[in-house]
Amino acid sequence: MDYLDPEEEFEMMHADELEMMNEMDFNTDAVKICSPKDTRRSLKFSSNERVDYEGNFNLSSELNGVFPLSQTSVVSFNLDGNDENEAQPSTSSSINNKRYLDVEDIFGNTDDINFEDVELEPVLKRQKVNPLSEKDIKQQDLIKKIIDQRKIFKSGKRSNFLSSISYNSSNHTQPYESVSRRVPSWSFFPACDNENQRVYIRFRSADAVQEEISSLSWHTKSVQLLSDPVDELIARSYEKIENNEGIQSDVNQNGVSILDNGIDNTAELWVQKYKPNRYLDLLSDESTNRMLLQWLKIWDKVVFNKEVNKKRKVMSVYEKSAGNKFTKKNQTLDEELDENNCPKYKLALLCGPPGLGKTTLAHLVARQAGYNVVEMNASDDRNLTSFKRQLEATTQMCSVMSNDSRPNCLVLDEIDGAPASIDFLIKFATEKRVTRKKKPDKKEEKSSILKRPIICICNDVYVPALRNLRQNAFVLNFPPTSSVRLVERLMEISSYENIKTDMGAMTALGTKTNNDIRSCLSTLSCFRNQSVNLLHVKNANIGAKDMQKGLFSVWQEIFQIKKSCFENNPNSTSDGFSSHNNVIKDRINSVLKTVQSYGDYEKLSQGIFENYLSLKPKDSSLTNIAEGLEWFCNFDKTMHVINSSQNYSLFPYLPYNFATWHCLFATFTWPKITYPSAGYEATMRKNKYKQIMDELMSGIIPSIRTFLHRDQVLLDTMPLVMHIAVPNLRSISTQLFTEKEKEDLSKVVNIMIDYGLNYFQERDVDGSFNFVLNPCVDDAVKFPGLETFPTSSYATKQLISREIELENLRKRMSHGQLNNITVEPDEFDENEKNISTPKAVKGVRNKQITPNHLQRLTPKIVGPTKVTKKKDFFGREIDSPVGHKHKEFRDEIVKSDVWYHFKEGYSNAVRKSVLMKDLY
Amino acid sequence: MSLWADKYRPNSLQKVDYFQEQAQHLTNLVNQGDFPHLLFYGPNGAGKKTRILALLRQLYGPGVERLRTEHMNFMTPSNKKFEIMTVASNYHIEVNASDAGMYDRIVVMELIKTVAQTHQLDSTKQRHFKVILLTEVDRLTKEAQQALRRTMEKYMATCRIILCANSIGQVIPAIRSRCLAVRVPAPTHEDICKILKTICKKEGLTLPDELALIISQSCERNLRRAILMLEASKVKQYPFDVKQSVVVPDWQLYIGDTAKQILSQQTPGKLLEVRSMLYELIVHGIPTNVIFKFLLKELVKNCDISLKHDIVEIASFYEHSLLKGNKTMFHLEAFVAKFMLLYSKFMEESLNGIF
Repeated sequence: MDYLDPEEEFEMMHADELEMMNEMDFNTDAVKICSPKDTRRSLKFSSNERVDYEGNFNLSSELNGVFPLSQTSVVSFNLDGNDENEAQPSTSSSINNKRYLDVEDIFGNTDDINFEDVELEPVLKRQKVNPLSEKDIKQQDLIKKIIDQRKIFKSGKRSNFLSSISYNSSNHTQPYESVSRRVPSWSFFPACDNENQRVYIRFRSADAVQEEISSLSWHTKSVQLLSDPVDELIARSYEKIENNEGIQSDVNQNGVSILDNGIDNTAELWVQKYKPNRYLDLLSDESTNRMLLQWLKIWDKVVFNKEVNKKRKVMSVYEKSAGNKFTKKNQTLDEELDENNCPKYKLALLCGPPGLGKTTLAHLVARQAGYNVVEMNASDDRNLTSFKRQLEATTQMCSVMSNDSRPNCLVLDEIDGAPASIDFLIKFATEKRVTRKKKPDKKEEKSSILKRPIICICNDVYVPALRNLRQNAFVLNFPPTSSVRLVERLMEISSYENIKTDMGAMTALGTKTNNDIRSCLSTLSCFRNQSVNLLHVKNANIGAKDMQKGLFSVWQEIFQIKKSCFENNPNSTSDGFSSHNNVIKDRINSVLKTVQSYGDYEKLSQGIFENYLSLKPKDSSLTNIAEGLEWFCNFDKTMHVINSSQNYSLFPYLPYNFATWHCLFATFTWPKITYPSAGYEATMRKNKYKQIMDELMSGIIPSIRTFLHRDQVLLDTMPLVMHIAVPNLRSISTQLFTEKEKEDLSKVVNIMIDYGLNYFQERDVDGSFNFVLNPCVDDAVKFPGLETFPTSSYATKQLISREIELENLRKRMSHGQLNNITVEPDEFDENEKNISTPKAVKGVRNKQITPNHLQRLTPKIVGPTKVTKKKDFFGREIDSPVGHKHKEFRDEIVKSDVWYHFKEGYSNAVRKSVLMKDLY
Repeated sequence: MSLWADKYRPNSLQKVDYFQEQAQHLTNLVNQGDFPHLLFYGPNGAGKKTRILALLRQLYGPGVERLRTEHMNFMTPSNKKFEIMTVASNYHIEVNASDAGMYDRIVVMELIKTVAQTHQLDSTKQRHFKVILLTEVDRLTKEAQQALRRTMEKYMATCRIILCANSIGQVIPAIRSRCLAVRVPAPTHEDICKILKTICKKEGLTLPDELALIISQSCERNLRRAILMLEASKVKQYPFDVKQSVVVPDWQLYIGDTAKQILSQQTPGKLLEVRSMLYELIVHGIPTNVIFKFLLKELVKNCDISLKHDIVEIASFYEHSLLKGNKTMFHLEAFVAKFMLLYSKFMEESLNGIF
């Protein structure tokens, strides 16, 4: 047979599929149409390729760690094509397999469509149509290629990483000649191909194969882009899967027993379960505990009417052994009582990070001191009215119904969430005394003083909402729990809960959660009925709190190398080089984590930028700095792209900048970090100067403005105008000025008018008057450290200012006159407010101002009214009907000898006082 | 109009002091009655605006010189209102659309539409088109320029657009091809000297040739600056002295000081000092390209020739990176640090070479 007929081709595919199906444990589903004879033949053919894929299977089996390939396997492979895959235990022996196939033949092929490669389908179909006519080798090549592709595809389906390896290895094996048609020189095994021609297949020793595999292990020397090598990741993922399976099975096995326990499932959280019930059980810092207890004890006087014994503090046995340690602390308690026998501070404020046992402490201590604890927290209704009601109810009443006759102690949990009630609380606690004094007779009960202790609890004492409370309350800062006691307690609990564990694991758990008791317990409860070791704790994703840190501590972490970073990761190997790598890796990871959890990259980067130079540099050369700055540029560019195109997919790359800065700038010394304000200040000042320039630009007269734009004004005109606009004048009367001085003055005045500048009088801080430029361009173009612009004297400035006013006046008047030809007197009135003697000026055509006493009313000479037509922007003429009406009206008036124009609503309508004798 | 720079500005194409040939071409262009869209480009102080205004005067008569400022209001798609100041005569309107920042596209579109959609009523007496003068086209965003290209063609019947830019590098090719580009190069030193002398003659002053040359050399071939410098020098000291120091803008002196600081010492501490000086420049609104240009010029002055090439390269690199970013300071400081590194390395090597 020279060519493949379609049937054979098809079978070949099936054979191939079968092989794959075997691998995939699809034995039961696989169905064949072909006869056994055909199968064998076709398999012989496909063995051709399979040899090529020797490496593939070898490698896969190697990596699975099941069977290394031996010589015999190759032999059996060729003897019996069906049993090609030794690596798969499912196809146990050739005979079985054959028989199995025979059985399968009985059933029709129903499922193979599912296994067809969809993409290759058209190609196959085309082959089916005209395979008979084409005998050339091309066809065969194509088929071979298709099969190759399929194999790769299938094996790729099996496992991604195997496919990549097999792909590589198949590439690598190509240069080796494993199959020959001539009798080769190397040891061989003869076989027949599908055309019944003899081929010789090479025998390879197991060692050689091994060697080849090891040479193919690409990952050993390749450059890695990931933080860990891929194979490590794969191994880890397998481990994880196994672990999960283990846990799964554990759960399955233990399922019954857990159910048997019964209590475990129904019981409350461990946090509740192992809550300390006695003062002695408290885990929190002893001095804090006692301080609070002591504060509560001061209330005894007013609440229980007992005399407080200052010597005898707490009647705890434990206390005696502990000694008076707390007195050394700076948190000292003022034990003085006020006139009502109440403590000075009526409120206690407990603050500290979550999970340290603040609430527990408050409850326990209050109970210990003999109070009935009433708690209000964020889950309660906390608007002002309900808060008021609750507050009054708890502090002034006592429960009657129950037998519990103990006085109430109010615990306000999460107080920082209710700012409105804080103010009321403070008023309630402090100002009640005053009200009582004011009106002693009225409402005695209602204005009674606070006679019950109130304990407030918050997380961050420096929240703005708490500012007032801080001053009025006895503030107790919660130090972190000592890890020794925490670990002790955790060990106790775990032994109680049948968790096999050790001290190391518990310590790790404690540090991981920042000694947060609550999160330790909840983490631990996930491991119930299992053993916990160090590795579990390290790898557990649970238990890691949201570790957002303050701005400064983030900066500090970036600038400082932590000693604790040198603790080895459990995964790391112990040899020197890699441990060094791991240290850097750990550092980078921790910086990344901190930065990511902080989030505000912009602010962080600004802080780093403004601080890195003032810190002690690693080395005095600028190499690091220059490189760091390059990263700053990079950061800025990325940020710009993100902001301008809203492309937030780039956001995850920003923290890596911080990692680089950490590597470049971090030292072991403690960094002194200041808050970055330079950037903000610069922006503010920039805006200020920009405003000045805007003001200036809008003041420049249009015929000059058209030639300028902002930059040119700033760069060229203004700095030089500052030098030009300073006249050299003597401080004498204007009349005595020389011709040149007058010229200078008028020039300066003109320049200043052109650019809309003027001097304004302003009072200095010390009370003296000074003329300042407005808009204050001199500020905007002046640089510090350079010689200042020449300035004129106070008198000169005053003179200039006055001249500018005058000149403006004149301009406006001449403008009015220009308009006067067309504009009616009514309109002129708008200018009148500013002009002292408009009518007189109207009469006098030259620009001289006639002194008031010389003014005469002169009849207006109205020539033939030449009306220039007003044009609008588009050059159209505007016909103003109002104008005509007035014209006639005016003519009539002016005819008479005496006339005046009275304007309703203006007191200054008639300007001149006219004597009767002047009229006649 | 009492600054010399304003006073002696030629107001017609016949009177321009240099490139008379070009002015003649422009006159011819206008005299034919119609002309295509124009794109004037050239450095600051070369006389682009002078030529444009002279051209308009040639076209419409002295009426174009009666200018007024107008505030035009625009509304963004997000209903934010903003205002743009325009300078207009009855025949033309001038707008600097880049004042609107990122909203310049709206300005370009709205303005041209409103101006161009009205026809001149009496086209026998007047030209049948009006002129829209867009300045600083090179600072327009790409979107605005894209918006411009279609409107330019659409309203060709009723308006002509004159564009004015410092360089056409930033103008998209589509616009460049729609306009007749007119390059107005900076005047030569001789031109500047000649103009300065003419002005002095008109003012009745005597200006020594040497001083004129000094001024022309220190003004970056910016004629406006040259005239202003002349006037400032005159106020400072007259009669002129050849050795008299020319008044230079403050910012230029300050950049010189900054460069001196950089060259004096190459340490992180110095870098910190330089940073505050650079902040000062940025705060005063000196454009970053100007800072880069002058700083580079000052720095390169004292450098070895082998170093110059590298320094110019890093300067151009960081100026480019600045354009792609937002925070000016990062890039400026990066440039300074890189320069310090190169410079100190070079100094060390040369010192080692001596011993």
